[in-house]
Amino acid sequence: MTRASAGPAEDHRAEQHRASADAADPAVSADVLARAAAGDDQAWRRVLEADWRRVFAMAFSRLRDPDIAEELTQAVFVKVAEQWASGDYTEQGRFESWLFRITMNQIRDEARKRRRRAGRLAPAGSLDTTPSQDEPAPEKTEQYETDRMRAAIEQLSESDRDIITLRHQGGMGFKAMAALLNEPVGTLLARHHRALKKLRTLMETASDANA
Amino acid sequence: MPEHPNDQHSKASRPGEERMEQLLGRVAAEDRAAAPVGLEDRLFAATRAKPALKLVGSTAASGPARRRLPLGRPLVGFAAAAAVLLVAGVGVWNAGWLTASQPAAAPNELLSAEMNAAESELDAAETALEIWIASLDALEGDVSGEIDLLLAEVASLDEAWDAGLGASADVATDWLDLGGAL
Repeated sequence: MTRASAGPAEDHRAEQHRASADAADPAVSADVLARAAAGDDQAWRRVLEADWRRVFAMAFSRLRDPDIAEELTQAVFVKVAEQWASGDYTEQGRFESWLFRITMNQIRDEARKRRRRAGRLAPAGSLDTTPSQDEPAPEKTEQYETDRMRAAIEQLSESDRDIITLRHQGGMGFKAMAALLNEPVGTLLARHHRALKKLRTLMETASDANA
Repeated sequence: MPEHPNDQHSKASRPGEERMEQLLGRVAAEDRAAAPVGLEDRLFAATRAKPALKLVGSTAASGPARRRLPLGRPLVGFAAAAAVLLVAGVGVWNAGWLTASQPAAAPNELLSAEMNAAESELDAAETALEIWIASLDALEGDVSGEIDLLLAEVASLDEAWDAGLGASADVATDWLDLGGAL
């Protein structure tokens, strides 16, 4: 039996992570959301402040192009604004899940377009970051470790990458992720744990190969 | 017996996985820091004020299609450029016609529609390019084959000509010999 709730300790950790994930407080109150939806510029500015960096980081982490990540971030917020303007959206405490669902869909669409183009015009590039024989092995600096982590993330399955992106780039709590992905919190905790293990294995394998 | 998810999660504090969390935190911080200056203001303008929208990125960037053009072959390059101009021209004409013929729509909708149209045109241009280049490659192969055949025929004609000349010389010599005898 999986547990239905992550519990207070997990929620506390998630909140800590979220707070550290963005300088702005991501928790925008229902009142602010309702005013933003009604067209209040100040409230809309607060919504943007709270969320735009997270949306951008998710897009950038998957697409690795700041211009396209900016374009995608703009498309996401335009969509939110349009939905609010049309009166189709009713705030029910799930704004974050809704926002990131739009974000993930946009990222998937863009990634699909890129794959289609890459397959049509050029062979896909290798994500291998192993240095060539002529290059000296890089030192194990923090930047080096971060780059290896990026390479390891690229090798995860699509669903594992979704979890990692939502959790770390998006700074989402597991409860909000559960609402977004329509899965129990316990399942997501286990999947996140497995994704971390895979990343660790991938990084250790890469280190062994370079040794 | 498989591990219970709760058991798995309780081990997440192991040093190796904490290290993974730290690294992921650093990656995420780098990703957030990569945001261009002034993006928040542009987002606000694009979604709230009379939008001073900024088209960025993908359509202007140099892509694999451009890098892979066989520029070393003038004929193919010229033909490819002609194809791009033709397709892009049709696209621009259509986009202009669509924009002009639509009733006043929200600027964001127009932007979105134009971006979609531009994307479709780009895809169509790429497909046209690929077909064009493939057909030119095939044509080039056919022409090369024909030239090889012609050269082979010329070579055999040369041989035949040489042989003919030799035979003619022999006949002439015979006639001269015959004349001398008479």
